[in-house]
Amino acid sequence: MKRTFKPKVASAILFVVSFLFVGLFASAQEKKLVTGVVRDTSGVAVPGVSVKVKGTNAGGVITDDAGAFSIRVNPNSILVFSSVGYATKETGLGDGSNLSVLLIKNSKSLSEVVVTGFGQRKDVRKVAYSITEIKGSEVVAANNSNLGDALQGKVAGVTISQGTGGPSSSSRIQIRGNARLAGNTEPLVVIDGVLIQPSTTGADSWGGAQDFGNIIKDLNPDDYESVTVLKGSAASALYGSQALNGVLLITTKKGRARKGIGVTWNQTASFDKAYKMIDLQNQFGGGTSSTFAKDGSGNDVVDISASPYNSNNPNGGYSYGPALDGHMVKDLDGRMVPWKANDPLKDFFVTGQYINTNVAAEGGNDNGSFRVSWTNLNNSSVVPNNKLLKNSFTFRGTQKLSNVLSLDASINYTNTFVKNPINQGGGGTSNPVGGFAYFMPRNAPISYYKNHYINTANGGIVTGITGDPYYIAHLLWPVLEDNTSRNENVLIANLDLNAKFTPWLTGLVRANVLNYNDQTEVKNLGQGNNFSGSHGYYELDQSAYRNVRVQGLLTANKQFGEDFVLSASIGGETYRQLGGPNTRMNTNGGLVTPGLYFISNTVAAASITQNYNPRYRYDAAYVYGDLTWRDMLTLNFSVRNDWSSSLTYANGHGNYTYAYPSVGLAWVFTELPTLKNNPVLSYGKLRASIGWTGYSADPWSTNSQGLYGYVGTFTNSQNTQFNLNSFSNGNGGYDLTLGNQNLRNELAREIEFGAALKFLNNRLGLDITYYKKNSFNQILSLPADIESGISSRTINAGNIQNQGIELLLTATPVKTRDFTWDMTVNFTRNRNKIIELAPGVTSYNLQLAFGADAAAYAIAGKDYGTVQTGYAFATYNGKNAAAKGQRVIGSAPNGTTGGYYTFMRSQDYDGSVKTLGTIMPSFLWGTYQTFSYKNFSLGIQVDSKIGGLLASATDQYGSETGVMKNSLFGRNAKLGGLTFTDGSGNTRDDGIIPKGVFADGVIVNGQDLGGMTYADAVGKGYVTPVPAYAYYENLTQWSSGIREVSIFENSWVALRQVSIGYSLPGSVYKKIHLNGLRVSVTGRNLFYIWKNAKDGINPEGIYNNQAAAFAEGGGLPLIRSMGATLNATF
Amino acid sequence: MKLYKYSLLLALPLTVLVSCKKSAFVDANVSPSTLASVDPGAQFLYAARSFPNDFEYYYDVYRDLNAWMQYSTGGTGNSAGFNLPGSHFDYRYGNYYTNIGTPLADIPHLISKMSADDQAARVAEGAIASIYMAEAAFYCSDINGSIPYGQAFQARYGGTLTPTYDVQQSIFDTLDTQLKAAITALRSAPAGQKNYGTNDPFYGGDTTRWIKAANALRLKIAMRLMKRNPSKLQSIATEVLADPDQMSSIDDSWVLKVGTTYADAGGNYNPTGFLAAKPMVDFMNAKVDPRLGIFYRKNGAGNYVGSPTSPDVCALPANQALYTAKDTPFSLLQHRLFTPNYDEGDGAGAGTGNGFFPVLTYAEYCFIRADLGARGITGDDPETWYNAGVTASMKFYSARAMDAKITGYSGVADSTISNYLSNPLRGQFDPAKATEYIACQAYIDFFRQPAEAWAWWKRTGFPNTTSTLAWPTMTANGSAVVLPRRASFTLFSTADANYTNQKAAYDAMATDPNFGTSLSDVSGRIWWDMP
Repeated sequence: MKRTFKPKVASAILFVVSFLFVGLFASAQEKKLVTGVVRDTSGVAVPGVSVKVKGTNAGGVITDDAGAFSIRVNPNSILVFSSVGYATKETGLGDGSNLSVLLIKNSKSLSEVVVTGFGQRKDVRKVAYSITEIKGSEVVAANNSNLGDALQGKVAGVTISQGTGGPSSSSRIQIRGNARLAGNTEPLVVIDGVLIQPSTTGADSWGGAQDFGNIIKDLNPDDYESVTVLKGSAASALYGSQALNGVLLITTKKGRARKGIGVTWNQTASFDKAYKMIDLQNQFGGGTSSTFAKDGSGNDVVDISASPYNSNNPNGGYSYGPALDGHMVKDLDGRMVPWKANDPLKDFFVTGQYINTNVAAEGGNDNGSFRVSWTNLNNSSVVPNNKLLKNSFTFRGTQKLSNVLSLDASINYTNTFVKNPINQGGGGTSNPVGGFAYFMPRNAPISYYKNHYINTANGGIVTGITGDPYYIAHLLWPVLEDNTSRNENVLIANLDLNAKFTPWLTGLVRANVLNYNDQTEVKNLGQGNNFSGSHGYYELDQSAYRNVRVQGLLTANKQFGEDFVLSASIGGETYRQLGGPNTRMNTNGGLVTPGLYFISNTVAAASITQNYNPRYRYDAAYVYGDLTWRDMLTLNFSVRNDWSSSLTYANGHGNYTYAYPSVGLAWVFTELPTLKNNPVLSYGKLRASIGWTGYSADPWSTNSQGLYGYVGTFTNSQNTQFNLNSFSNGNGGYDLTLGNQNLRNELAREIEFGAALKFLNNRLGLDITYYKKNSFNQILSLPADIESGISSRTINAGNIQNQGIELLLTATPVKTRDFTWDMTVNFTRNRNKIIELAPGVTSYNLQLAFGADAAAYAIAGKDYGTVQTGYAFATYNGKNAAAKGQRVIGSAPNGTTGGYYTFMRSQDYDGSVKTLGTIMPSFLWGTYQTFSYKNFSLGIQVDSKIGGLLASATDQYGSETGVMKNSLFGRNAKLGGLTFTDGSGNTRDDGIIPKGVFADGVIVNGQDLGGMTYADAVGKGYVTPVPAYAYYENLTQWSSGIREVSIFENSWVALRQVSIGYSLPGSVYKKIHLNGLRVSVTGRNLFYIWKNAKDGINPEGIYNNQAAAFAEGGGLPLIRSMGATLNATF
Repeated sequence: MKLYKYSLLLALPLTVLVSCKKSAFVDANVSPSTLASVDPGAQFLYAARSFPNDFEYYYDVYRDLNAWMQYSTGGTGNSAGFNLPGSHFDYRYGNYYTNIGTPLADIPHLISKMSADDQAARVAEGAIASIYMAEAAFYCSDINGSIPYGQAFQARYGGTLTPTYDVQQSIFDTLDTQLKAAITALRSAPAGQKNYGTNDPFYGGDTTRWIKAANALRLKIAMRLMKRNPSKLQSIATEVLADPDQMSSIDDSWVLKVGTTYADAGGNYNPTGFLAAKPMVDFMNAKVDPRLGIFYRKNGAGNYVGSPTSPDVCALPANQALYTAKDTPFSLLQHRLFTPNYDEGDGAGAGTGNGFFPVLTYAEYCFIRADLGARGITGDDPETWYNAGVTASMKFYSARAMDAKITGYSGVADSTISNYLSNPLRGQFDPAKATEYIACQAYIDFFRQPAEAWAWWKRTGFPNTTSTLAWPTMTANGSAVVLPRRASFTLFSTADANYTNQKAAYDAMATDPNFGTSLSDVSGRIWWDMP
């Protein structure tokens, strides 16, 4: 291979590295080498401990991440170990090898070690930015298959939105708002140095979809020591182009030095219960008339208008029928049934389970350690036939190879099997919750059809007005007979080779791989006679990719004189996404032999499509470290330079290299002599930092936008299929985006100030952070006028600002010998604003809802995710000045139920769109209260989101036919309905007068009613009141509905978790030869203390985890989990 | 020495880092499935298969034009306001620029990058693309008036992002010249021309048929000038008819024929929920029209019954009861004529026939010539061309119905057609009402081209309440229903890059006193549609 030394920085690094090595050999050899490990009383290694020879100031060293040190000293020296937060310790040399030094915590001052940067453990005093670490045990305690959900409410600055499609569904993790306009703002996940970029998954506003989730579900929290959230750019700058959205830094457990082998066994059994549906009404059954017709035998007969199969008529499924009183009636399918409301919670939903078993064994001594772990998870949801099975195997071992070299190797293999994620999105009508509301009257016998959806005589589905009058079978068939499953295999392996060249200079070579593949199968049973027919379907999808990362680091830890401690690293890495194919094969036109699932069983020609998971490569070089003066003032710094493949062009040009610096200052001002040992203020630190992070372009995009490729197929009248090749998005889609030959990286600059204060001997603490992050050079496809022949063009532009405050309050209100009460409160306020887009561009579509009827936009000068819709109530601006500002009533272009006038949409009235607000919350807060009494502990977590819009398709389409409580008003005189005579001469008592004025040009019997209120028009006899069934259907149905009705503020206060733990006393567990036994009971998502989502809509039901997701479609009932965990140590 | 080894080990990744050429990064960033260029035929096929647009069918055709033109009504008849186009009308506009015009406009650029020899062999392909482009631009401008044409589609080639709008008059002139030039190019192209072949789903690259289509299209566009510029219409018609290549059978029809799943019954092409409209059903019933069973399905009782079309009639309690009855008495649209794989629920499962989308059929060509003759613009005999048009229409729909595998349909006999045309109680021509009879038959023929029925209605005034195929007087809440005549326009926001050009174009159109009271006044007219 021909070598050209291009990147200057990297060659400089090589030079420095060589220089250092030369220096090594020059160093004297006559002193004695002393090595050892410093630990605290709980056995945890303490990094950053100053190790000096008593009586000298020079030549000291600092312990490394593993608490290890080595130092060359005269054989009769005394070593002094000191670290803030610990009592200083002096010790002789002994035999000089493997000293084990124990430091005792000094209760008067604070010491906290956090994992940061590339996984280094660092004294929090030296960190110049906000950082939050969550213990692995806290994550596990949430009894949730999803790491993201488990973090909810725990970290200031982090917004978690739960997935809705069952246990596989991915949650949205947003750190300090959205720094990009692109759909994916999930943070980078780093597990022991392995980089994982979670994808976005889920449904959209068009069709329903099943969410198999992203790779986060394949991770195994049982193996985690800690999860560190790197929020700001200064904290994450070392990850450069990967870090724009923040970083979750996960450290897995290691074996600890101990006698013999330790075995732990954790067993959790938790159960999910759907406890509340949307607000369905239980007073009126199917139909539009309050009385029954009778058959020849005198039976009350359910009216045809209760059925959505009203011949060719798309409407039906009404619940404006007779009051539900339980008496026997003749149903549409001819059965005699009690006239009562169904209860989806009882009739359909089941108890979900979360059974997690984790067995781990560990052992170790001063030379090496190991830990092996197996986790088995069996997780089903409240929807039948939906489950996730996970098996995860982990090994981590460390071994000292020599005085210089040591190994740290880990390998994790996880297999996840997911079956039938719950359908979400679209109109939410093919999802159980949405389906039970959409055109399904309240008397629809769900429980009967749950067991009678198959036509027992002919095979296939029951169908038609008498077979499946309420469409329940067609709703349930996809849940119960269509099976979609996915098998994912994830292998993560990492090898660290550590070298301790000299007492102060260490090196690390790290190599790791992430190998992923999945296989998805769709097996749909035909619905025709004998299970034949075009619904029969088999599909096989496979996808694979592999990522590799190799990193080299040299780290110096050195004390200079009495006052300065320097820790500095220099290194580089290369990261390769090697990509891989993804293929899809499917049958067409049904299955020749029903119920057999293989591609050749197809009726029509099978389809095969294939794509690639893209390749990507970056290289990086960096220098970083910190310099501390007198344990008081620390300067953090880092510079990283990236070379990224995705900003290169096929002809060789491209701005593909760029740098990301950061610098910060941490000042522990309580180290000042005047403040030291202050009785009130125990600890105080001020921080300030600035950092840059970024994002490279999407792989392959620079070389595919504007070019040609496969965009689908065309089948001609000979039924010959041709490939279509035209303007392509590179992924099988027709796309008229014009590429850009001069793209640069996206770049964010973040400034952060903070203070950490501890009072009254650390009983009370306050950590406050202010940040302001501006992201520039967004790589955007900006809409262009299609008449020019392109639909959009890719540019670098924009300035997105996230500005906010994070607060963390910690307190120990009570602390006695037996009883302790600890509490934390966190608060987040983030303002995500679009400062500018591109010149001449003021609006950028982020995400749609209700098809394309509403959308969240980035609008210059406004909040990220500003929701606008033309399907809002129109505002009158016509000839009658007195009526200005009122809602407008008129005709709908696609017709109204009963032909009645209804509220006009703004875009149909005057072409206007209405701005409804932002999807971003105003603020978040959460609190965790822990009470411990002797061996008992009680933890209570409450978290809350205030503000932010939710668009609910369930609410909109579910409100059409009188199924929900929101349709009770006006349906009879008792419920406020007006009495009137309709066009047929019938007297009705279900009249409602819409509050608004007629549009100009609404002419009734020659009279233009423009500007007249509907009430006045009723008074003057031009129109009648609108019957309730028509009023409500016209308000929300497809053809005339006002989407604004179902876009509402969504705030809540949730009792997220309550857990009670009990550690059994030694007298108990020792009898059964255990080393420890703990039992805990946990309730999760117990209930909402308060929420304001309309009509009982699940407030945490957005159907994908994209940045601007703000819509639910179908959702789920409210679900709570209760479970118990047994934790045994052998 | 040990240390030296270790340091080598450590230096390894750093060495890897600094030793890589940019070309390695470039190699990683090229997708194996991206094509640097494509054959012009690929772009033609994409544009051709994009002639129909499923959203245009869903909104424009099924929910607006079919109701306005009284081919069908909604499931509960027509309600007040059914004559409003709504914000979803005019999908043809976006479809033209996005899916048809852009790939077609790429063809000359693809050809221009070829060698001189290859370019010489692509003259015919370029000309065919130009003919289809003319059709698409005409169809778009037909209800939108001024649209960007001369400067359109150029952004990709370094041209403007903000094309100016051309007035309809100049677009029609340009298209006529363009079509004439294409015909000349097709005739005079050097030997050894490449051929779109299967990339041309209209004619399979048949040059002569494309010349015939171009001639027919010239006539069709010129007919729009009937009131604006009758002399120009006459000169174009005379010139076109002097050309030897004229459409002469239904096989010359310009039609996109597609496979079974193209207009999938599970998608937006599905016409479920619509009822046959009374004026069509009554007329066809009375005249024993063999196309009746192709267009509509019998009701449960085995009859063809149309739904009333006037909102006030639909709203009558007696009629509302019929709409909401368990088994509606009204006939439905013949699903498989629109979506051949429609499952009729007869246990036979999904259909296996083929679909079709007429662009300009031989029947339409005949009716144009009949109308030209009847108006004395040409010397064509109106009756001859009327008979040819009706015959072509019946044969065309019959062939398409067979191809679509409409259940129970077995074709039309020649005798049925001649009986129809020779019986004064059926479809026999009435020279005294020549233009009316021609327009009403054209109207029936336009069952699958409701946009053209709309254009003929605007141009000829037929059907109307007194024509042989009579529409009822339509009222809603006691007031007359006014049918739209053009698309509704919405100005870009001022922030839009092309706001100035668009506003100038709209302002200019609004100077026409017949344009309507506002941009959204769809009862107004665009340039060609003179009172």
